[in-house]
Amino acid sequence: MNTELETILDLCIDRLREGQTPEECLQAFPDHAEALRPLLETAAVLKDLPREEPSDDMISAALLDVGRRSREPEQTQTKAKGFLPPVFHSPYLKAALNTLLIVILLFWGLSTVSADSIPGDVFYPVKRFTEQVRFALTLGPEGKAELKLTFSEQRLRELSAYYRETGQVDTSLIRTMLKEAQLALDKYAQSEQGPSYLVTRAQQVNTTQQEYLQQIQPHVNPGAQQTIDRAIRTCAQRRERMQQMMNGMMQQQGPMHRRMMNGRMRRMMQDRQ
Amino acid sequence: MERAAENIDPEEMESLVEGARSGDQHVLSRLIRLLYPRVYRYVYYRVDNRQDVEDITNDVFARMLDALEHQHGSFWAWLYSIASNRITDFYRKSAVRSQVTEVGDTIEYFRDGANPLDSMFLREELRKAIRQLTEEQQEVILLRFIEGYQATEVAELLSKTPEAVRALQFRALKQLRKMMPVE
Repeated sequence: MNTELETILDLCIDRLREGQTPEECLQAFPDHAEALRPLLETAAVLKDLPREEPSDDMISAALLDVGRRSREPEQTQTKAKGFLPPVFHSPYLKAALNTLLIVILLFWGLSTVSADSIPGDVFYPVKRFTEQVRFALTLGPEGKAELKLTFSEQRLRELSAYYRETGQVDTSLIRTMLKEAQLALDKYAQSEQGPSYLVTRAQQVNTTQQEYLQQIQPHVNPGAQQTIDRAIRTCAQRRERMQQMMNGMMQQQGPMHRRMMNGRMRRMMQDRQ
Repeated sequence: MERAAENIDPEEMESLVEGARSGDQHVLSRLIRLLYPRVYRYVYYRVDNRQDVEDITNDVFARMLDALEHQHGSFWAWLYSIASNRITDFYRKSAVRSQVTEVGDTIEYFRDGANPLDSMFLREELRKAIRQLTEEQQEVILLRFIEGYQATEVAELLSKTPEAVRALQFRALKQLRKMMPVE
């Protein structure tokens, strides 16, 4: 009995979707009308529910976030040590470690507080300063190139947040964003055997930036138009150049190379965590 | 403006997935733009806080990127299973499922087609009601009514028989009806 009702209900739902009303559907099944009516009325409400659509801005921001998250290794849990070896019992060493811990916590706290700041916020200079410190502490051209790409992504997030908040485009952010990406490529060129994932990531960042700029371009004031036009052209040129670099690498290394480099990238990120 | 994902034909979808798998960043970006609204809606009706909805949706795509090379079979079924797992993880970690608020007390529906409720309010109330269904019922209701799949397609996406999907649909509507009575 229930199976029959379930099938009829499903048929009626299909009819609702074709434009019939619950009453029209029920006329075809008078024996079951009483049992089905309340369910069909609920189904009609569900069917007509307005669709929730994420905004283009939200999707652009998500693209950046997705790229960043996909490179993060799954969180691993580490067991806390139950005791410290005797060498750590020295009061001088303890004081030094405590001081170091406070400095690290202070630095971490300021980085966290300033992470979402945009130009004009109190903490924005702190954010840029912590970036400089991170850059100075990072060793090797590969690591520095990767960091510059992260900063370039960060500038795009700020550009987007600033635009959402004020309706204005901060053209200096566009210039800095492109400059950071260029510096990343320069650092990449310095590495002896640059990994292909850096070019892949640079391509990803460049594509996202170009798409975002194209998206806001028709809506910005004429003063910012020129800067955006120039920036879009720069992104397009870079895209072609990077594609050529990738093609060259793929021809030299073959398909296994990319997988190997992806694995290497993950290991490198894990080491740095 | 990009087209909605449901309007892409399966072959084009397959070629986009293939392009993304081969590392073409432009195709990947286009693919995510196309898929994002549907996954977002799927999460939206199952999770209360908008920030959490965005967070989980982004996470779904990050996992998709990580595992794209190994994906096989139906792409949509695979993507929905990632979304479903992330939502389950979210509730397991935050244990907020029990905090879902009471619904239905203030809702009235009218039979003659005129619905006096503001659509935003209605949507919010329905979200709350849907979140009180079982996980399987939620999946069926969202895929069937919000995304507009046929029962047989829902069955394919969830690896169930069409009969099981119809039974879940029946019970879910009964449950929703109890929570949101029609005047």
